[in-house]
Amino acid sequence: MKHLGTILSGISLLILIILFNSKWGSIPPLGKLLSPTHGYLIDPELQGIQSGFSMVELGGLKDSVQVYFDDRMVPHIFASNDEDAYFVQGYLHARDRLWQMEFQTHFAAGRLSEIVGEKALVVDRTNRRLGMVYAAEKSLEEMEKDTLTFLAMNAYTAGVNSYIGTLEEKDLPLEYKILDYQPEPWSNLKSALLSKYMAKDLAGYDDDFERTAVIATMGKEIFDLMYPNREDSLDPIIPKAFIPPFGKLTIQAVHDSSYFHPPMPDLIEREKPDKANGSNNWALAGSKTMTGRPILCNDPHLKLRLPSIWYEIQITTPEYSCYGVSIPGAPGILIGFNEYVAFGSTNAMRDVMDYYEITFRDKSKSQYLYNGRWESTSSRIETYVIRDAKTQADTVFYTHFGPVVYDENFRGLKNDHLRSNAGKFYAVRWKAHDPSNDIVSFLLLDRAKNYDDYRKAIARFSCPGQNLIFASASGDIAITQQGVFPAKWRYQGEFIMEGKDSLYEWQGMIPQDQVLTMKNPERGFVSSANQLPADPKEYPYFLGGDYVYERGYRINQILRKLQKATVQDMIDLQNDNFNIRAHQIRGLLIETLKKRNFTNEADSYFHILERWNLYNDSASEGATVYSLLMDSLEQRIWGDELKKSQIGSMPEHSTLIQNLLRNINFACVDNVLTPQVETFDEQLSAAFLSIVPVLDELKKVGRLTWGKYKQTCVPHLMDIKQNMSSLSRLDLNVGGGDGIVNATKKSHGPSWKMIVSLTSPVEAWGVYPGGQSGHPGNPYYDTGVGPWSEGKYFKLWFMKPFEKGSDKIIQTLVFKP
Amino acid sequence: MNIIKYLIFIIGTLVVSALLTYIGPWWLIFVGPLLFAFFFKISYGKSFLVGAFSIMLFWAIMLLIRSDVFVGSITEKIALLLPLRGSRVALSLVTLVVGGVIGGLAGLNGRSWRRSFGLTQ
Repeated sequence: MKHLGTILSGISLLILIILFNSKWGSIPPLGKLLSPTHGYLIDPELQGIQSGFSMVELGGLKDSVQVYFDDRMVPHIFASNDEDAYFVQGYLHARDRLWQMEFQTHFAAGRLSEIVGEKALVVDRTNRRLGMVYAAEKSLEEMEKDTLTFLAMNAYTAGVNSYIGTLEEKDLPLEYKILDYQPEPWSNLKSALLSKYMAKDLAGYDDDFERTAVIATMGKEIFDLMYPNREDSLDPIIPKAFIPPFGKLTIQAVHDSSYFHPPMPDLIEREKPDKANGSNNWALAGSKTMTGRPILCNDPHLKLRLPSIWYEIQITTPEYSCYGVSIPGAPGILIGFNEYVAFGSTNAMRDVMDYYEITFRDKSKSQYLYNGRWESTSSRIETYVIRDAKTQADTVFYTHFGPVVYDENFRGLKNDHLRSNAGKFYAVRWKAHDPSNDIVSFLLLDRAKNYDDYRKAIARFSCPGQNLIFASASGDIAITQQGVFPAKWRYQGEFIMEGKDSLYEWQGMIPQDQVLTMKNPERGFVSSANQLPADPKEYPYFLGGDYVYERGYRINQILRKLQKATVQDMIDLQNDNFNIRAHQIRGLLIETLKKRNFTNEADSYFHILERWNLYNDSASEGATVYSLLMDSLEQRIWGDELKKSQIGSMPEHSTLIQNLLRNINFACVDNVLTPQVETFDEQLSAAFLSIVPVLDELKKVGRLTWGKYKQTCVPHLMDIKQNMSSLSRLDLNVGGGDGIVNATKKSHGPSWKMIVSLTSPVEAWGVYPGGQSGHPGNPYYDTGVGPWSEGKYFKLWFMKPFEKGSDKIIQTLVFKP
Repeated sequence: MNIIKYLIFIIGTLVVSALLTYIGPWWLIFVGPLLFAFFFKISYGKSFLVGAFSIMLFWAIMLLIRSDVFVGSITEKIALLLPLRGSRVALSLVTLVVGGVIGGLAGLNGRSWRRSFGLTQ
């Protein structure tokens, strides 16, 4: 064959080009990525900041908009009307964070497998079956009914799309080149999906299956030891004096004792948000500050990622001027201040997600039993376009409670592991499914001038419940646990409930005039750190939720003592590393261990623990010894119960401590899987001895100090294993931890730290572990990581119109219509 | 005589590749070596080598043009992302090899097509 050689060489060339143009497994398309004409070197955002003055023409603007960038690339937008302001916000969010915006909304929409293939299918199915898209659609409908929200969302979306329209394939951000896909147009629905992404993170943590498994296998007595319903609330957000006298309790408990003997649930392992998603905030009245004016502080605790969930921005129109952090994907400023007021939020932690067991009439699942009748389900076909694999479809049935998340086609993370033969059906009732305008409250807070404006702004906020804190330059401070919460009877929603009648349904929502709020208390401060909002004995509705008390307790302890507080006092408090739990239990640990004789090696660790100053500072060895000891002790004490319940989740650290302080040999101390009865003494010694070799190893590699052990990092959104030194910031040597005001864990912690002093003019400080630009390689990719790790803050520039010639401006960008 | 042929090949490929990749995707680099190896009388071996060399040169020049970005942090990040231990040198080599392989195979194609179309004896 004369032409065989030619044909073969032609085919090989074609194949080679295709190979270098596509992803092979996790290896990015080498030709596309590396070529100097189209690859990673071509990102227009890597050219560095173009200092000086540039002009950009943007179709869609009504008027010209000036944007001034300071030395951290924070944009200060000056627009003559709202639409243009939100348009430019959208444009800049896209310019700096497009990939992040798309990736996060694809996650919420259950579309990650379109980008990364089959390995994301389970997570995608979880989010679709949880009704994330359904929730976003319903909220969008609601949001578009409001004039301001509709205007803001439309302008924002147009701005994002305006930027996307300027991109050619070679201009795409790096992650698109690595993962080999292209952006799609933005839409208002995507902004709604983003707000559901936050709602899931903050109000989507749920333990109903796990708790039900524990009570079903271990009984109520053990259950109460593992998951105490905090009757004794130390320092709730709203003290008793601020709870209005409610009339007779209208929510009647309807259960009998069989409620505490539920059947064993199916063993479903679930993908969940981080339980620690919470925050700190507090506001001091002028009576307690040096300046005589209020100070407001807020640090939201979320997953630490690059790019950061937050984007600093200042928006000025003739009507208002607001500075703060926004979330790429949505218009407005969520935590921030203007010259009149400051505002922020922490997570309420209230349980607004309950599961109901559904009885279907037959395999078709077209009807389910409810109040003695067969009601019809509706169904939604979810289609999964999977990269490099066949498209799959999934039918999700909807009851009046909500979607049937788990049925025979979907069993959670371990999808093919039908360990129980019963195969039950579970529908979810989630507040996030109810129509809500999640955005307007923040748009209004941005413009607020006083306490009344604050109340009007937050009145429409429904889910996720938040402790919205407020301070005004005129001297008011306030906090409200705002949300639309189900009015529950005691223990309602703690377990999976029967869904075959209305007996266990939510009977209604707590009326807005019975929402917990507090204004100008005599003690001179308001605060919240995810603790119980009120003493359960004082509030007529069940406050089920995942509360923690340690940070709130410590914060209030310090705030009570503070007089003439300065900004430095606030910095010190946000960075406070005091370990309350250790303070409570260390004495008992030392006393108990003292009775034993250890080797020299072990003895040295004992002394480290004994001498420890109880602060989880990065240089502390005691913190490491304590942490490892408690982890080991917890495993020993709770491990047998968790094993028997099969899917039970580890109780809170504070639960173990509270139980031990009451009774050193409480029931769970014994390992029920062994014939002998273990005492606390034995368990503690065994725990201690087990960690000695671990501590030795850490000492050898120089990681015995808390910061080096914890290895706090800020991983890139793609970096699942948290080890990609190319794109992530690793091994940051930071103190703090769980149950500590400085709530910095491994890759979770204060994602934004803000302090606002409402003087005239207003002054503020802030920092987040990330940078304004989401483009790896851009000099502003991770600006804040270093300073944040060192507990430092930047002075935030609340730019005034007359400062347009300031030398703080690095670049001026003028957008013309 | 030969030198001039090769010079035209190389410079011609640079020009063609620059133009095509300006308006089109990166893989249009194959066009230059293929065309020149088709129209010029060059052996198979040399078609591959000169094809590879001209694309490697093209990309090397483009890297130099973008050297301000190349010396920045993005390059190191890519060199860490790929199993290259953060070495800019290794990354440059891999880049040039990718380009060179395509250029070389394109040149080989040009020579083969020349034979199939009966343009050579």
